[in-house]
Amino acid sequence: MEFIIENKTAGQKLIRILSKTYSIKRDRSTQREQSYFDTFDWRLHARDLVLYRANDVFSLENNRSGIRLAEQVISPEKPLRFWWDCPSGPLREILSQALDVRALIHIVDLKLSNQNISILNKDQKTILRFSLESVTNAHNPDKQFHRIVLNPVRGYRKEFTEIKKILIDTGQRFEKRDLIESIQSGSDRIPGDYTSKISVQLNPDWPLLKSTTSIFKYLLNVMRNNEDGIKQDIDTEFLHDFRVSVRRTRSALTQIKTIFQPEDELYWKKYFSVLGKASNRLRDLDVYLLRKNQLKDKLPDKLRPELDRFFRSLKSERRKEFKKFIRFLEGKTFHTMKTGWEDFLDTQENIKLRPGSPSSATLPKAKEFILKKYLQVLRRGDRIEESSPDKDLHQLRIECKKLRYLLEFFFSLFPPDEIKSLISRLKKLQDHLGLFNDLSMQQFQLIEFLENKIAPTDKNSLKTAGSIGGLITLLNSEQREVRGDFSSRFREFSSRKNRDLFQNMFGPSGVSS
Amino acid sequence: MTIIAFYNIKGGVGKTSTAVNISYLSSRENLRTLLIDLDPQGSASFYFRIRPRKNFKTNKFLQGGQSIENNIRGTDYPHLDLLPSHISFGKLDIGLHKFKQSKSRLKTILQPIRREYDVIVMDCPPNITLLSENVFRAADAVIVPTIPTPLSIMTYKKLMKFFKRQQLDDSKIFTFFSMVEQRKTIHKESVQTIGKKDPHFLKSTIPYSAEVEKMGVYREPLFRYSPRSFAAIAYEGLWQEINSRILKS
Repeated sequence: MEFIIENKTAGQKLIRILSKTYSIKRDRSTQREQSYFDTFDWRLHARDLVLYRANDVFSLENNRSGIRLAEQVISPEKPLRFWWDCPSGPLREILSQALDVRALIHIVDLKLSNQNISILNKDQKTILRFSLESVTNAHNPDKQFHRIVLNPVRGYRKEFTEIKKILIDTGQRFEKRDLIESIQSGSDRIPGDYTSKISVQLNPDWPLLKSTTSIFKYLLNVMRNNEDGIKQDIDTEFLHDFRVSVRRTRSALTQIKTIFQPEDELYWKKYFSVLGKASNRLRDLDVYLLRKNQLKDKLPDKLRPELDRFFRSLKSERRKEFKKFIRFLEGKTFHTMKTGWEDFLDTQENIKLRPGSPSSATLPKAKEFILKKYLQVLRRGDRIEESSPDKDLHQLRIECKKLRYLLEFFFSLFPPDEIKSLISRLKKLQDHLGLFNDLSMQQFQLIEFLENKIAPTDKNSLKTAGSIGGLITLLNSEQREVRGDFSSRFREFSSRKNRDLFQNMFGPSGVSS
Repeated sequence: MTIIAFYNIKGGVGKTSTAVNISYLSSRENLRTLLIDLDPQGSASFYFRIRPRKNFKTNKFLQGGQSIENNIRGTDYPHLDLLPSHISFGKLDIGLHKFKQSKSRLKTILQPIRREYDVIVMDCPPNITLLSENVFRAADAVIVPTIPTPLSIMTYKKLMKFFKRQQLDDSKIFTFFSMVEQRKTIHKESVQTIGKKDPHFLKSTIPYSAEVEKMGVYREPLFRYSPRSFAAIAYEGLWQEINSRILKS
């Protein structure tokens, strides 16, 4: 439990007051450095968690209460980047849920110097540790604050409550502030400064052109924010978020109609298509490699060595693709296109609206686009029967994505709770189609390997082919199961209730905020 | 996670001193350690300056669950917690008789706290009752401090026989010579002859030491006030052996 106080003198006063009721033992003053970590998109902070390392011990605390949830010794030779790098224990459990595939990044280093005091009961047993601390940003010593930290000893809750009461009764003001926010300055990162969720604030009365250029600028910014992370190869999600922004941009160029001049629209669509393709193979390889352990678990032990060989070749291909893509990112083409796109958007924003130009207000147009796409999704889904080819489900998945993007682009124009609920209904259908697609991609990957990588004369090849063949069969039967569930999922999505909700919100005389 | 019990039907053999010092050494290596004081005399609790809550009686202990969680207390040392004993624990075996699974009740009680700790150490009372039978089933290792005299060694052998009769796994049993006085011929002879032949005997021996007795005065583990004494060094050797032979396998 931590409280910010004005200065050291205030802290000393509190100690004097406590010493009237309890025995106090002064321990040595200590200094330590703590390094703080979180993912690029602040996943720990979003769950009210804070993770830091002091010497070789990592501690995870609740950001609000300061209660330590887990502690783990990790030797410096084995840096903690992903949750699977953590030795088993409570820390690993919590991180595996919070981090998923994202890596931990170093945020800030703090210097702490404290006066440590043990509060003792009448048996001279320590029942609480009280620490008067100065916290300083190690690279920016101007940023400093003072605080008291109370560390209760397990099982002495009653005494802790009594001590807290004494402290509160002194009239001392205690503040709780977010540690990392308090200590950062200038260009340092602060919690929540990046999220992969799309949140553009639009005004319903804006001309559609203005809304659209705002969306494009937002998406370009997300791409920019992820470039460094991609180049440094920190984790797979930088590229993923980058690509999602490219996809969203392409979707907006197509779904939000008659915004730009036709030749401009064509030009930029082509450019973003090239941009998307430049990292297609790299992303596929990232996904295959992330799946490594999952796939290995599905095979009998004897055949695993063959799968290892397969993944080794994927890894080396991935290295090549990565280098290729980095060269592209650092190249002139990409740089010219980025600045070109930005200039283009700036110009578009400032276009004086001519008669017949895209001057319509955003809101009615947004509803029109969304409703149209929604009806398309319904029509496609309705046409799918048990005997329909898999291709139809893949197509539906793509249409659902386009609908989802539209809902996200224009999110700020509608009542938040209601539109969130519509999105989550769509998400259920998307998740199902996504699983179907994923199983398809996995089989495709393996078939590709069989066709391209196995030389018939290679002694090992028969064994490898056997294991891969077995796995494909397994995946295929999983996929059939998922396929079987489709009609009930789609029925759920296209229920009367959902149709009414969509019509109410996006129909011509629908609700708006 | 390993559960170790220090047990001997005889009193005054160094059970509690060993339980306290071994738990301390375990916590010092950053292993999350819990010491459970099952002896109504409460010596282990006394050494750590920890009293139980007034209402932590036999029935609460046997209830398990939240009752146990609420009564675990942190010692003054990092990674080391203690579940203190209560004077009413003298009646634990009577309480145990009420349960259907009366011989495995303790094992059941310990189940939920297993994931919180790397090592659980139990300090047992000097008797043989239904509680002891629970300890034999709950523990992964039953370590018997034995004074190197023929009578004490016989007690250890009787325990081995008891295990066999009850069809318990006697590979759990380990023993070591405790409170060894080199000047006593009978001690020296016992250590030299018996220890070597029996695989249950740990190689480390703990000397009789006035320093250890002072734990009752200082109310701290030996290593806090006398880290370089012969006894302290001997305990470190014993800990290394327990760590490599029992914890790591």
